[in-house]
Amino acid sequence: MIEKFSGRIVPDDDKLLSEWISASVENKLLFETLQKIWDSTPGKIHHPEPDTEAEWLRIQLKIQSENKKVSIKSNLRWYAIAASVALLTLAGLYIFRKPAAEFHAITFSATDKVVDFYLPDSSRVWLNINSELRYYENFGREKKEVILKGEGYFLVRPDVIPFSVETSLATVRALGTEFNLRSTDSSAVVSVTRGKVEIVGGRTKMELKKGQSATVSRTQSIKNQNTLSDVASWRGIGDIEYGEERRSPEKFLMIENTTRKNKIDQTVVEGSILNSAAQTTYRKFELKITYVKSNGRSYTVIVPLDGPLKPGERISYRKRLPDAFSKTRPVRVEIGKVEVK
Amino acid sequence: MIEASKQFESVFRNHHKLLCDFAFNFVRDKDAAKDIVQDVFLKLWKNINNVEMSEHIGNYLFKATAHTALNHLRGNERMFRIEDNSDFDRNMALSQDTNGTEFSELEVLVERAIDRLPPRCKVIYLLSRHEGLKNRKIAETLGLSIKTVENQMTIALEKLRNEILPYIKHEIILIFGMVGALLAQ
Repeated sequence: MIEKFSGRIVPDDDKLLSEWISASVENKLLFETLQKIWDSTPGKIHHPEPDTEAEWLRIQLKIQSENKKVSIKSNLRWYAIAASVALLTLAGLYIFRKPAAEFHAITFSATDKVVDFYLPDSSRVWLNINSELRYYENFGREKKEVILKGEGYFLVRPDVIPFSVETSLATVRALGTEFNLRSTDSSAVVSVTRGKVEIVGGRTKMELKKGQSATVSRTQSIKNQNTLSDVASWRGIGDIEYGEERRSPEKFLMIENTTRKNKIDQTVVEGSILNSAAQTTYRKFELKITYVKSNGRSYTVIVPLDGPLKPGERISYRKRLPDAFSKTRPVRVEIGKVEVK
Repeated sequence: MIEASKQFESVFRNHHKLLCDFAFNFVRDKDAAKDIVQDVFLKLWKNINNVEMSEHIGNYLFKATAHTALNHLRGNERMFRIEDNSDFDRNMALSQDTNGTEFSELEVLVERAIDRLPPRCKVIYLLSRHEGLKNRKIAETLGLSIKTVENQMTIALEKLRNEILPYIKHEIILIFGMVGALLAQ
């Protein structure tokens, strides 16, 4: 009968029903009564105030309290980071603890200044202006995943656990590397300064090595060979560490040298200097070579070197000392004056 | 894992209102309805690894809400006198916009009678009347046998008939045994 009321009845059943109805007055009345009930059942009504938005917040809170079982170990690490970041309190740095749907989310935002900080696994991140990085409480347990908006430079600690940075268009995976990742609405650009990364975006998957970069957009991906020069030059803006690079360049110019006597018994000092600064380029600098001749006096020779020597670059030098036929005691090579870019 | 929570949020936003409507029709209590939907989603979240967020998620949510609403009704089986509940009349008033016409006296009566049905009976009847589900589908949704559903429908119609009979113009005394036998056809 309900099939009839709903208008779904099949012809054969309809016939049977009609026969039954006409069989007696009681049948007819019963049918009509039930039909009346059926038709008089008011239709489905709407909930007057579903408040979806408020309800979503409510459920997030519930889920959060469900997940309050955090292991002590990761908890401590979080507090350690919080403490060190609190010390930094630059105008541009904010930490949000958002009640994320699954775990606590930790978000770092750089608004008007470049900021840098450490992730729980001691990997280091620099964020450019108007950029944001987020990771969840479970970072480092089985995976190391972070979400990046904007631009960041990553110094990833070598580990067996894969490290990945997710942006809107591409995800970069790394194992102990350094790279820059810039993400916009239309593209993701990765530049590798050290090690190897894998970039997955859209339909492509690429592997990049040191010195390479790639641009992934919605439609295509391009690989480039890059000099390491301008990668992450944005990091220099107003950062404490880079102040150090400017103030104490000798700490960042690494000298390698060997000495030998040549055919006319002069000491030849040769080697190379590496700019191990992350950001600063050194224009001109001097090598100071100090040596003691067999007469007991010490002499200093200045070797001027022209840059510019960009971060990661190496420059070679060779200097013959005016100490022919003299027994010269060990030679000291240091950085003298340095002009910073 | 990050993907899962994004999916969960979008499923929540897509289905929340509909499920509230659905639950509300059973329990007739706005807060209870919202609580029911919260419970459904919380349970979904706990099982997030076992449940696939495909297009069938609506099906899952529908069943879960029906179950949860039924449990709620069972839990709250107070003798709920509708005449005393101002909420009820307000609800009726609020839903006038669905077809613009006022509810007739008969409709109000039927509504009250439905609300007085035992929980399982009520849910089954409403699934049939509001959602247009066939008995087989109702059985599947609630995890019952088809026979049980058919019996419950019979009981529902019988009870409703009894409630409104005094008010219908055509009054006739029907043999109760006959009613049961005939409806089972």
